[in-house]
Amino acid sequence: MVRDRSLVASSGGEMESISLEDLDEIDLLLTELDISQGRGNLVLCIVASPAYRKKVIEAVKTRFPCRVKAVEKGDELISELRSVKPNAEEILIWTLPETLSTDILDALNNFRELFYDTGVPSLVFLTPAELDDVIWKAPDFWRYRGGYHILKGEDYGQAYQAAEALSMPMSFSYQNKEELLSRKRINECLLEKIKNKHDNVRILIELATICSLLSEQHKAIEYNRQALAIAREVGDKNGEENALGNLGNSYQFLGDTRKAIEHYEQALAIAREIGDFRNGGIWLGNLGSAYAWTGEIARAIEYFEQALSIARSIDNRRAESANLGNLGLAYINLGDARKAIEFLDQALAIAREIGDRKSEGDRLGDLGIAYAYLGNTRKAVDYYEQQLRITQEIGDRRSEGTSQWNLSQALDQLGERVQAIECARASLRIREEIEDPRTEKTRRKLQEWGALPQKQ
Amino acid sequence: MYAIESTGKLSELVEIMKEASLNAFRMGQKSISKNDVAAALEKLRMTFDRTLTEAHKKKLLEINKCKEAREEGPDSVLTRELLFSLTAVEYEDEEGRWCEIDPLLRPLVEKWSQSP
Repeated sequence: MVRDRSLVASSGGEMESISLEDLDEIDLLLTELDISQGRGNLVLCIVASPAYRKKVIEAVKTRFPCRVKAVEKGDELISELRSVKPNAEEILIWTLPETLSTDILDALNNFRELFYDTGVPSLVFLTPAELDDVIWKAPDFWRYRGGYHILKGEDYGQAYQAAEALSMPMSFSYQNKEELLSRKRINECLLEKIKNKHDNVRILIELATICSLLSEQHKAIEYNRQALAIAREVGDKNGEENALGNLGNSYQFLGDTRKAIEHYEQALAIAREIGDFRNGGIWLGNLGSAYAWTGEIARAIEYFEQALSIARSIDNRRAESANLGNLGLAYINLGDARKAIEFLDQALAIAREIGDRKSEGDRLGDLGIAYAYLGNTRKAVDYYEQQLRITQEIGDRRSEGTSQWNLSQALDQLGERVQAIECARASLRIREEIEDPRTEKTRRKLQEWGALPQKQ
Repeated sequence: MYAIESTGKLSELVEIMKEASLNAFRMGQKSISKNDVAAALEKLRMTFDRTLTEAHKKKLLEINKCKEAREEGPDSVLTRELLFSLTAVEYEDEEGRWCEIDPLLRPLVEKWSQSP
């Protein structure tokens, strides 16, 4: 039997809401469900956001008759598996709570055969964090699987603002890229001349911060590692904390969330030990961002709320704005765009009030995403354009790439393909240059539009 | 070679074959190509690389070096997690038992060693 057409193509309009980058994997998932119809199979699908999971389920439903089971507890899962009597052509879809309790993990592990006993394929949705739990705590279930399909998720391109809360050793703000480059030169010069180790830690951390803002993450990591080693050598707790936290930021930017979380947690532990509330709040917020990326949105919201409360108590307006913005993004991921807009409007107002241009740009971009989510694409374009102007003024390459990308998607939806291509090309140039993990996604979109030669 | 790379355990080889054959079928191929197998192995390798903590990686490096898998202390579950997930494997032949990391993960050893 040889397939002659894509299942994605036969699944109709629902596929439009699936991220372009995921189409191949979704096609593979549908193929697997197709060939195992009428037989027991255990297929895993990994998605981070509940809103995106809903879209994937809708896409599967257009292709197969499905029964969706949302289970909260282990014994509930076992009894559902035993009592469910699906029709031969049906697919059973299982969703689990955001945090897997021991009883669910035990049920998955010890009763894994029941998925096969139902006689039809089961599609189990997990977040990336739940996949980790399953691999370590329900290893037999993991090894009993059929296929597993890891989806990249929504095409926002916007990141939770770990960058916003970069730990800045001085009260660090800047107006444009030239200022940043000039500070970089000064620090490089200082590093050569100054021999005091405590000063060196401070200089290295500032250099790393600048590199990170200039989207040179590998250089930032190198400077932070040097700072970390010296800080530990001379017992400089503050320097150690900042270097660890900044390493977390760089790893997060490069898409290594697990490593980011480990560094933030170490930084947070030191902040608590030395009573550093300001940075402690920042690491909490950044942990929230990292957890949001792994799909633990409720946990992320808890961290953002804690961080917000600290930011307010110590009157750190920049962090307050960042955490309101992050809460906004988390609610977008939960599919609640109206609540998101409330938070984002507050965040934007604060950024403007304190003259923080980077935050202002980022919040404008987030508002664009929220309005795009609500289907108000013109308004979204308006916000993205405002964001783009600011990113270009201040030399924020990463956000500029994001903003060009989001603009291209929105313009395409409005039927303005020529302009959309122009923006996507601009985004690709930037992303290639800064090694953004989303470069491939951008390239593939341009290929799909016939605006870039196909890869050999 | 693929049987060895997928831990040497038959069920793991079957997993890899399932994954590779699904890919080949989707692409309309009549047989599984080397690329399909390589892609299936790489996907699993990347999944483990993402999910392993720094502590796990450190332990795996240690196992890779001394061919033994012992827990740090009575409360530690690290080694158990590695063995249960088959990221570390216990082998046995006529000369006795020894432990090694999953051969699938070997290409990552150098990268992990350089990690801070």
